[in-house]
Amino acid sequence: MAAVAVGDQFAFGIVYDRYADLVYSTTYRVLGDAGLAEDAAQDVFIRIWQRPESFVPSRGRFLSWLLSVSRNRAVDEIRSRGRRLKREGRSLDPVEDHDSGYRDESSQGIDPLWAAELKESQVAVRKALEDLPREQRRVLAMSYFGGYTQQEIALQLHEPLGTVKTRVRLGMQKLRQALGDRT
Amino acid sequence: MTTGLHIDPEQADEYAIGSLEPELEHAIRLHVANCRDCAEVVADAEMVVARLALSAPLRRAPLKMRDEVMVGAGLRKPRIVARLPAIAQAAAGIAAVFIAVAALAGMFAMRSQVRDLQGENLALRDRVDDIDSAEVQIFAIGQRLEEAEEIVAEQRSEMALDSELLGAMLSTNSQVANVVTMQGKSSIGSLVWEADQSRIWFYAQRLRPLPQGQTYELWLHGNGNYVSLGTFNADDSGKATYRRFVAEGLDRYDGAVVTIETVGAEQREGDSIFYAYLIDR
Repeated sequence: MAAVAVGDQFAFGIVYDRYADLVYSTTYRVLGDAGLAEDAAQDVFIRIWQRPESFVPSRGRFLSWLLSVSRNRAVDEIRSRGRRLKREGRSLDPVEDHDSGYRDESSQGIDPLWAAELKESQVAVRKALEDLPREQRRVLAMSYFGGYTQQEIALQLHEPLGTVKTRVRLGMQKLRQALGDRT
Repeated sequence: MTTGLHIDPEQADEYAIGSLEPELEHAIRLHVANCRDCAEVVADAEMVVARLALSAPLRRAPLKMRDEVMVGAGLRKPRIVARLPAIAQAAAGIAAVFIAVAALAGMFAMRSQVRDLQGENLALRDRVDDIDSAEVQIFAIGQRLEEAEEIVAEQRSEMALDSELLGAMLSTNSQVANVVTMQGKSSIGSLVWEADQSRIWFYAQRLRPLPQGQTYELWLHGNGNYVSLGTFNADDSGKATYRRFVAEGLDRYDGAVVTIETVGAEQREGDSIFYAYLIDR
């Protein structure tokens, strides 16, 4: 990213090749529409090139920042459309959703070491999520991938707001413990 | 909850995962921008939360997305296919110019046709005006003909009257008297009594035209009374020919006078200006 920050186009190409699928997968996960997901992913990369100073290394890893930016961009899209997007037939819960993308990263021609690291991270996150109680996992997924606020989740699930808040906090605590120093 | 004015880890988690209401989220964002301690707490939460994205099934980004990103970032010009819409737009613009030129040419041609039609229209209007003028002339001729016919009819009537007067004067049953002025005794006409027809003729000339509101009136004197035989006026030449049937019971007269009376007067007021010699049957 340091090279991208000084206008290195070649470095930008490498960043794109390494993270494009992740960014696209994240926006697709939120939006559930290939065209919208592609537009959102493009915006993320263009923003990286045009405003590289948005990433502050001292505040965390680039991957975490990039995924946050991708998710936020997709959620903004949902909110700007007033939640008119239809995502029937697809659960926001990544554990329950068996929809597949591709799973064999080693065949994609990217850095094998990076692919292995990514694979390991994915397995760890999925394992951490699977270990969460279903209700906690559900509210986390609705917040993160659905862009719903706690109030909206309470309305959708017909649960008290306090219950939803508790589930979010407990879920986050357990997730933090499970992922430990992987963050 | 917040610790004093700062953000606690639980609230940072809620913020990071995006479950807070927009207003609170905005307030925290503003605070984090200016508070290093809270920024670290939030960054830690965001690190955890961001990992959730890895749980999503991995999908291959569309191949064309790379080109589109590079173009969007200004690092590459759009390929011809991608530029097709712009080219098509330009082509459409050029086509529009051609169409506009063609339309302009058509408009000029149409204007020329319109001018021709306007010229024809003017010519037709002139012809209509000519026809209208001819109609007016024909109407005027008709009017003159009618006037001439009226004059002829009037002259015929006068001729018939003159003819009858002549017949009356030549009749052996008629008695003719000379009509003279009261002063100077100059003759101005005749008074003919046609006994078998009970008619009286008055003929005079050199009568002066009377002002409006006045008229000549002929009076017969018999049995000690003057009887009016009606009023008359002279024509432009000063002539007057006058015929009347006399009333029953009036079978003789001893004289006649002409006076000038006011139109509509019920009795004689004017002085005699002419008189006729006594004509005795």
